[in-house]
Amino acid sequence: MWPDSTETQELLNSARAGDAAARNALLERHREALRRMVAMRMDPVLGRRLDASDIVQDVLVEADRRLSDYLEKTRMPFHLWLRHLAKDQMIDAHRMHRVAARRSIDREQVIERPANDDRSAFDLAALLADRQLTPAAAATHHELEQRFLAAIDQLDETDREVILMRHFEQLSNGEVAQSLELSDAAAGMRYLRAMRRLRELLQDPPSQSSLS
Amino acid sequence: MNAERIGKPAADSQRDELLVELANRLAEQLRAGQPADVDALIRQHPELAEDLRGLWATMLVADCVAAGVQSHGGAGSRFPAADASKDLPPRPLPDSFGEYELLSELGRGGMGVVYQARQASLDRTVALKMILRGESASLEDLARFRAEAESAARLDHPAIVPIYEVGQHEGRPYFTMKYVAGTTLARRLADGPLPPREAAELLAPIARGIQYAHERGVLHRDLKPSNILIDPDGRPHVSDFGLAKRVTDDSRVTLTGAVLGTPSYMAPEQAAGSRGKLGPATDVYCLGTILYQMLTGHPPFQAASPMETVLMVLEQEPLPPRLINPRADRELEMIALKCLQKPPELRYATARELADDLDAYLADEPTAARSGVFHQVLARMFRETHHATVLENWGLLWMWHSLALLVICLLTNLLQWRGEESPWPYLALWTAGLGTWATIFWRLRHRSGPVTFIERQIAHVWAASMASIVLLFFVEMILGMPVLTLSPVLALTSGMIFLVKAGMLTGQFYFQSAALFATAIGMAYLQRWQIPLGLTLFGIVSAGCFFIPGLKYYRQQQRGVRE
Repeated sequence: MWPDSTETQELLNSARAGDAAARNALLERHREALRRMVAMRMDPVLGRRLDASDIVQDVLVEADRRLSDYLEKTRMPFHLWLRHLAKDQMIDAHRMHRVAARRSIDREQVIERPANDDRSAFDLAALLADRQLTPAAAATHHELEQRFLAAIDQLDETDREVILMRHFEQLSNGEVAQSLELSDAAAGMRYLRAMRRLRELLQDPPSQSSLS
Repeated sequence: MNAERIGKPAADSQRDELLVELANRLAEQLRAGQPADVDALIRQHPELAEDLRGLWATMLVADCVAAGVQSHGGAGSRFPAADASKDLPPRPLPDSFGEYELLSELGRGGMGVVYQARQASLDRTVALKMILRGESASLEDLARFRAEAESAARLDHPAIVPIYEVGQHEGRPYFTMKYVAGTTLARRLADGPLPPREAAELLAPIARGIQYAHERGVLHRDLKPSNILIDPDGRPHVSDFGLAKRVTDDSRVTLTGAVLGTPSYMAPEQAAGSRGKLGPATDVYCLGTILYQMLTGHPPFQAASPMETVLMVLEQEPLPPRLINPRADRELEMIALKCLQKPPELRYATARELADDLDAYLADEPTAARSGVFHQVLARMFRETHHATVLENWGLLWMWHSLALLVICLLTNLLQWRGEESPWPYLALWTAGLGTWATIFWRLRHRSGPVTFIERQIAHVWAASMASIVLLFFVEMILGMPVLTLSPVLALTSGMIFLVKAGMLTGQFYFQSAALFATAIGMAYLQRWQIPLGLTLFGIVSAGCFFIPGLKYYRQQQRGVRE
């Protein structure tokens, strides 16, 4: 989901040469990817008060301010650097809105499901296999999504982070490792562990998992 | 106890390391939009099968959700109360989209959302399909999407939904096509099977439309009931021509398509991911799945998970429709099954032939499908299974094997001519000779790459035959028979092995099996007439049985390497 890296590289080179338009283009083309990354991670309560785009705007302003430093001393790929800034920005936002205490209450609302439904997420995925382009498929997809997001919410912070990075941001194992400051092997293990937990959660009918 | 406690976690962590490596490889393939060959990995690591399948299923679900969430604009659906932006699904309608006004949502799927829309400038109602995931498409993708959509747009046939315009708006590629009021075949079939004549009347024009497109070099590649629109007069219209798969060929949607998409309607060559081999026969196969569903109410293959469905598409023969719906028409059943043949060359060569056969059926004339049944049964019997490729690993070895067999048999015959009556020299020759060769054979095989599961099975069959052969000498001894009395059993054992291999690898081995069984009879007669040439005969026949396929697969492998 992060924009193409060869083009980014060209823009970085132009920006380094002092091309202001390249500088803008560079930041602008990451806006959408950043917004998604932030939106996925925003606390539900915070989400009601603040739009992901607001945070992204702050991230881009900050990135613009520090871009010269980055261009001088490039220690990581550009998109990983932006992610770092975004994470810092999100931590600040959460701190400001002091939502931590309320989070647990709101989470229960997210997990609520119809009581009679005992299908696992894998059943839902299979259901989707044969009903394309019908409203029923859209509904099933929506349900699968809700189920998945609820499961993701139950994972611990690092597990969730690894899965979001690998599957939602399409980062490679190497990039995840770099971003979390781990070895490739350790990042891989963490991914494996997270996926195992996720699988367990997805297999459980939601009525059970919401009890835990 | 202690050693075990230390040893086990070590083995577990090794196992996990391997799993991580495989998962990373699969993730790379997913990301690059290549077909991920999970089955090959499972075959290579049967001990990880369960873990790997579980992991893969989870990866697909995660990817499927990620694709969905991102296509409708971030985590909108996650916080429905907070985020009422216009990106939300369903889009608040009516809504303007470029020069179009979106009126209502007609449907959505893994690939995109279809809206009924109004084009004010031309004062017409169109169906507008927005391609999901479009934002991540590069300019090059978009250019190709356009080029191909345009070639599809030139199709002008009553059974094909015409494409009006291909464009991009809000960073999303879209195309518009004629709006066909009515229903889709998928909805029609949701109520159950169609009456036979109605099925044939509906499918024949579809096949003609497909033929028309094939003549202009456009494959559909994604024919399925939901892509067939039926207008209020009951006439079918094929939509999404040549678009679905092309747009997504290199994007990851194809793979998430394994979850969202419909392996049930895929041809085996598509399910196997061999893109290069797609041709008109691929669409013929898909037409067959549609006919099958018209007859039975279900697609030919449907399993609990997409992965299993793909496996069924590759490996299993469909159930005859009349087994599912006793009222299905026998003639149409044969037409459907002819389309659903796994090797493309056994299907109708063109969509026209299918259409002609359907028309013949409607006119109560004899169909080609019926007359071809015997030929089909034969051809299917002798074709290769998808395991036959392991034989390429063995080509050269089999040629050596035939030589080893021939030498051992000739030496045995020589001992016999020289009047050797003690069983021990023979036993030494067969155990030491054959045993040494078997060891060398297996080592050589190991050297050229990991041994697959099917090869392990075959190795067991061989080991069984070697044990039988050696034990024969003892049976002769115990029963007080002169040595080599039971030698015709050698040919019986070998014939049996080829029969087993015929089932596992390729039907051509039925010939070898028959030849060896006949040899056993010949050897018995030679013995009875006291002509001491039985073992030479066996040596020549069995050497031939290995040499001929050995040479064939060796050449095949050489060709493969050069290409």
